[in-house]
Amino acid sequence: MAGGDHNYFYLRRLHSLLGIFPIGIFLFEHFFSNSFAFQGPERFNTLVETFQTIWITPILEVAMIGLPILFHAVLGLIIVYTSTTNFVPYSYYRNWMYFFQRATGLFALAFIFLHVYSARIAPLLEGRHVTFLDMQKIFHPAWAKWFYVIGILSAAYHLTNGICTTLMTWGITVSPRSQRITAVASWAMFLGLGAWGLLILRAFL
Amino acid sequence: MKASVRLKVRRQDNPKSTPYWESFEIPYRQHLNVINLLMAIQENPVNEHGQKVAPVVWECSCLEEVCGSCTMIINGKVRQSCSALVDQFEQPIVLEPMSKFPVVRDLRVDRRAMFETLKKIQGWVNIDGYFNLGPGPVLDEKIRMKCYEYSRCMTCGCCCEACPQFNSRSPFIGAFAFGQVHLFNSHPVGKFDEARRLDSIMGMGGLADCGNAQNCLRACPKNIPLPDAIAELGWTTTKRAVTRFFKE
Repeated sequence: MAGGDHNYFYLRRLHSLLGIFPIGIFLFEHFFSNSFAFQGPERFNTLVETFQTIWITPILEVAMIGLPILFHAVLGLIIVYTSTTNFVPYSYYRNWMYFFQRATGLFALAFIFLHVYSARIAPLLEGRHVTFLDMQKIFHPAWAKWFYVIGILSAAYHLTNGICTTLMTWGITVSPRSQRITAVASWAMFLGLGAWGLLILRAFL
Repeated sequence: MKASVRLKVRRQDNPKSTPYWESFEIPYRQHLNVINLLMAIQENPVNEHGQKVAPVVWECSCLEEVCGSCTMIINGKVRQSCSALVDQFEQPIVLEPMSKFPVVRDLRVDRRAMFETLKKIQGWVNIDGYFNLGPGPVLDEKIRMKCYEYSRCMTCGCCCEACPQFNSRSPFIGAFAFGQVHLFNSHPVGKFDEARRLDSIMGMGGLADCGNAQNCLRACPKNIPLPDAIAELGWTTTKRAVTRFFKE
């Protein structure tokens, strides 16, 4: 096989790695810092102001979040394109997880795009930082609330199931038993992360 | 007791023609299998409307689920027709050719892609010549038992048919290949070609394209633990990638 062909293996491993570090780590950080919303609008606004006025923040946003997500998304779309669904005749647990991993990936991508645009880029174009009130306005329409609920849950599932399959892909969990344990652990993590995300959303309503 | 068996077959006259459905009624006997039904059609090729038609084409050889040639889709799921007992199925029994391989005619498909893959991954142990090499190397019993499981692969295509990642839009080579790479890399002599085999599954359509749906495990008639081989190779290919990147 041609040497250049191996690049594909490196790209897929990079895709897998980026999903956890930095993207997955960032999701935790994002939930953590947005948890300041629990303490009220002032604390939230102060935090956003503090974070977004540090000079290194835009660099980190592009290098540690934007570019990795862009790479993950482009290769992810190719992966989705080369997949099919056959859970009707073959209705097995991991086959459903395979389908949901791709479906949540697509939804999370659309969600992240609109979320970043409305909460980061749009205020930036107006030369200011997003506020608690802005977020409330974004959440105002009923569809937006549901869009966020599904978006948050999609991102949480995509990460937690992704951790589970990454462990298989990299050959860490080989035995069916270890794969079962990590599957249960990933669901526990999904419930925790999903609930946390939804509570943050509720803090704005 | 049922007097007859109803059979519905997805037929196709040649690789390019449009498929169509045709139904048959076959006299019931005890302990019939699907091959018996197809043989009955061969003897008396008359469809449910009493019209004489061309007999249904299919492939079979061993009739004991070790050759894989009679693999087809029966009531929606892929399996060997020789071990498919009529009494275990709801009627009508629906037969379709495998959907992931080109149809030659009726239920007969061309699985050449799988054999090309076996050539690509070097699914054999290289030896130097025809002279006597003496006794073979001793194998750890635990490894031998594991190897035996992978050695039962008959390249039937069930893992490919059931895999959502194995399709015309994807270059994915199919799970059976990884079982064979793992088998021949576990062999003390086969191990000499380990790097070559690993390289052969690290390109487009190789190991990295597996989406962990694990249908291969469920579909394999021999219960070969293909996801184990895939996960084991996930680690050895990663090590191989590091070696290639830093040392070669």
